[in-house]
Amino acid sequence: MRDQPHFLPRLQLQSLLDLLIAEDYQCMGPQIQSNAIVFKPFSQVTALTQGITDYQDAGHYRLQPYDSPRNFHWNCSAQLLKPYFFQAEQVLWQVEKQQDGQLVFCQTQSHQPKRAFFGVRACDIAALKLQDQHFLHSEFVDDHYAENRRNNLFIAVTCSKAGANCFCHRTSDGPAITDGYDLLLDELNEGFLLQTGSDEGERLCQQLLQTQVLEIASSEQQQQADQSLSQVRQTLFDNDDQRLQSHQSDQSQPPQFKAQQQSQQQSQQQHQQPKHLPFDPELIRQVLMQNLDHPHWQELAETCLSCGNCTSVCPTCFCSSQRDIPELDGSQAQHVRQWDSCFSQGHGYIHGYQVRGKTQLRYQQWLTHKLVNWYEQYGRSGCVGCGRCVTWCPVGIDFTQAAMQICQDNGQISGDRVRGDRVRGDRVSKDREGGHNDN
Amino acid sequence: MAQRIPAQILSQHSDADVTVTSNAATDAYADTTNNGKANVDTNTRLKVAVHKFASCDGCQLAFLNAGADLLTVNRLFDIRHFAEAGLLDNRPLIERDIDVAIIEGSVCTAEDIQRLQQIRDSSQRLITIGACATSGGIQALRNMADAQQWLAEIYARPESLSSLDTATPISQHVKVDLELWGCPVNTEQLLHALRNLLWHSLPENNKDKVCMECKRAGNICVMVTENKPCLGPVTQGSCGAICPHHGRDCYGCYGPAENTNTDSLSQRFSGFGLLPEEIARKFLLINSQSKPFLEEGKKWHNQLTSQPQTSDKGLRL
Ligand code: SF4
Ligand code: SF4
Ligand code: SF4
Ligand code: SF4
Ligand code: SF4
Repeated sequence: MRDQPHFLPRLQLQSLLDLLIAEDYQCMGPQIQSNAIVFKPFSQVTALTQGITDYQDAGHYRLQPYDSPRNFHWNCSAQLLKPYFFQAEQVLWQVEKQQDGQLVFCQTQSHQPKRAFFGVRACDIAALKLQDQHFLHSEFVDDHYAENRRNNLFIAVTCSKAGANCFCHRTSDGPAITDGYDLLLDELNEGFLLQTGSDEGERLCQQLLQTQVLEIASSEQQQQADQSLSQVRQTLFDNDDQRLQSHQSDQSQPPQFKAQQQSQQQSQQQHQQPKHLPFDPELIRQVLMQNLDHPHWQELAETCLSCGNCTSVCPTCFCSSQRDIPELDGSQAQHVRQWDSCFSQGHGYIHGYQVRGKTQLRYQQWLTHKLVNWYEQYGRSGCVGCGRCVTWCPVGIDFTQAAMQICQDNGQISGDRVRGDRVRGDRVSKDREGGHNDN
Repeated sequence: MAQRIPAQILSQHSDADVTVTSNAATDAYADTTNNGKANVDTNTRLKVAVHKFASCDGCQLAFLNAGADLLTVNRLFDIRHFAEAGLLDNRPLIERDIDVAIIEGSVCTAEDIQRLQQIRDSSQRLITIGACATSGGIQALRNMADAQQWLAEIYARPESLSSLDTATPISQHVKVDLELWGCPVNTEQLLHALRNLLWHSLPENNKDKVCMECKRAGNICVMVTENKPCLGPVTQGSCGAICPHHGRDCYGCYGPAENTNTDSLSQRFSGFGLLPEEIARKFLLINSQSKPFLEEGKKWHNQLTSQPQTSDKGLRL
């Protein structure tokens, strides 16, 4: 596919959309709502984001004008796939009281239309795999999630920039998109390089070829796309390096942790610390789990609002609670599952006993589940490096800094370790680049 | 159908400012409804009375706005007294034999205290609805001022008024079995509580932050995108996060959530450029008398005035 890459001219994006609509797909794409990029149904490309980019920092999200015809020049949207598949509120079953007093239970089944998602990123795909692992490939299959996951088409777009909170390179989940998509777009000013990644994608591609919507990509266009990806990767590593340098020259200062005191201007200069995680599972297990009494946890607890925004926006978090919503006359009731969080009170309650009454314990649960216990459950870290939890924390807590701080004080993180990660990251990205060109 | 209460709700009793009926109280309630009378009296519906103290009547509207459900409420319950809806029980308070008294408003006069005591004495259950009844409400702002001075400044003939210097929540005077927070409470919250009373089960007691509801509703955070000083992270849900849904910051009308960190939040507000007095006013508004909000508000107000104010219209803290 990539040795015969296709090119979709910008003006033909609507043709792709029309084809999908004709095939009964409901198309979901990035649009602006309430000062952020969200995913909503659309049928005209004019509805998509254009001439806009985002600026993200700890506890900070702004849209900014961007002088270009591009539709996808931004990083993680506020939310993307999670709410569509693991719904924020879902009726699991219903119970009705019959005339004779008997109760009849029935499982509710939602029927979703075929949906096509435009603009999915590497981190989104990686997170989806983790959610699938939890809801589909565990011992028990979640019927509701399974239903929502049927008949979806993913039109992925390679990131053309990296935000200040992005660190997918550190989790080996991006920025290159290697699988998990039906169609993959690399956006250039004049249009998109198009590759297929599934039978359905291939079928659609053939249709586009038949109607002469697609052209053959030139080698310059391919080069441009490759360069753009290298640049994104470079930005991600540069961000690390820059932060590390200023961090090292800043060692005498106490950790700049109370982000909340900062004005907006200060916050723009805020990422003074390296954003990288020691993703060696053994290392992090030892360091985090053996230092649960590290004083930094207390500092975190003093700042954290225990509000659950981080877990709600995290594309991999899967916790829920359940409640009953009865009809007033008692004739029927709905049993509803809703997003919960380890920052909420009910999450730490086991019969007669609250195991996580304090914020410190809740924060420890969040960090150690993501970075330690997830390995035991699912064989990898629960973080895909999207940075959403950092951006959408109302007081701007950067959880990578939190983990860093604890590991650093134990002499586990140093410039060398960062270099080491980087070498590893480079190897991964080289492999990916190879895959990108040779497939 | 016995709807059992999720265990987590029972666990929330430990919060100092939560007053949900105890299990024992719920059982006692079952006794009163299942006693022998049922065989004689065809009308075994729970007898309900709605009372108003110092308030704007907005919470009673949560009833009146229930639409068709109001007919169901009327069928399920025997509403004996509800002045705003035109129903008056003319017997002396103390002779009324009521199963559930629902109270709106705070205590502002000496008479209020007496009337409240009589209502309590003649009711099996007592539920407060709304910020006024539950934490004093907006009129409790006078608790932090020189009330007599305010009276003198506002009314032409202050001597014709007899009013206490403070506005206080119902629970400061009598035992309260269930508190429904909100300014105003919403219809679903109220009907949910009534439904659960019929089942002898504890109504859901949502102490999680508004942020949880906000994110479930798919709202975009106004703090993160616009630096708006939102009280959602310290306020309990049940409102459906309507303010952030409409692009404005939460003003805390449902009262403090569990495990609040008002200190960190107000420091963030300060970082947004809010002045100490503006931060104080965020907390000292609708639920000014609830402990976490009162303490946080005072802290910022005191920063402004190192000495207590006594001579002008400002709040004396
Ligand atoms: S923990 Fe944070 S950075 Fe990692 S996947 Fe979740 S939201 Fe993204
Ligand atoms: S325990 Fe916390 S971090 Fe882990 S999945 Fe649940 S909400 Fe997310
Ligand atoms: S984390 Fe990586 S894949 Fe995700 S938006 Fe950022 S650069 Fe793109
Ligand atoms: S880390 Fe931030 S978003 Fe998460 S619970 Fe704490 S304050 Fe809320
Ligand atoms: S808008 Fe307010 S309530 Fe909603 S998530 Fe942000 S801080 Fe929380």
